[in-house]
Amino acid sequence: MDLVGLLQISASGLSAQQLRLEVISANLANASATRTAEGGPYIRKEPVFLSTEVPGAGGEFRSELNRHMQQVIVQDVQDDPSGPRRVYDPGHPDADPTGYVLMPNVDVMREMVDLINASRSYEANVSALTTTRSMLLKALEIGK
Amino acid sequence: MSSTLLDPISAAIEKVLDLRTRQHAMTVTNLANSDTPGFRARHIDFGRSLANLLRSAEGGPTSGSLGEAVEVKLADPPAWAADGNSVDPQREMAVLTENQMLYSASVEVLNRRVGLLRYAVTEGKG
Repeated sequence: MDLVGLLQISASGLSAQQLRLEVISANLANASATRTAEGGPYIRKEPVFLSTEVPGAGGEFRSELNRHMQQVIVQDVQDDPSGPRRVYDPGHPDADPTGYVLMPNVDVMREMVDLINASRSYEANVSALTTTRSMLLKALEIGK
Repeated sequence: MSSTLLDPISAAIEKVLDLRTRQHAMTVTNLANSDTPGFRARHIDFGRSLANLLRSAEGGPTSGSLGEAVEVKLADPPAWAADGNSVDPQREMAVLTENQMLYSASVEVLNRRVGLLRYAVTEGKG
């Protein structure tokens, strides 16, 4: 794989972090949604990252070395298995006879921390991309 | 792989550039996978890999291919990493910058040597 192939790895990192940001946004937006199309409160979603070999990476370095160069994909977006929170709020339209409401298992603090993490990872991938670009341009200067 | 035009030093710089490119590839991979569970950060043992390459250029036991010469180290995850990921973004950013600067420096050195060659073939008029 050459320098151009590396742009693809950085791009995979960017789109994975982008999707993670989208999931976080959805979680935050639905932090108080007690009704969903499937019934019951909204369930917190979580992306699952998987590192895979870059498709089409071939050439001289094919075998050993290329196995170490891996892009990242979002394999799945899973439901958070922890159940909904039970909150006492008798005035809520979805409260049960005892006055409890099932609220989504979204922890806003946790989502915010995740948001910062995703944003920093995104920036790191942009830096890697920029560096690849400047190395490519520098390589074009050889012999000048 | 020895070139007839380039002297041994330029040939060595060529190998340095190859290795820097591989190192960059590792860093890019590490940064892309900084949140992948179980992913282990990989780095090139630069000194040993370059020594392997130069030895093979002198007719050593290994062939000159990068795949055989490059030694890759996998970092162990720290004890507190619950997801088994061993990428340290700070370290990767440092390696990224260092590697880029040394790559540029190597290209500069190579250019100076090409300049010398040009000076010679133009009988000092170039």
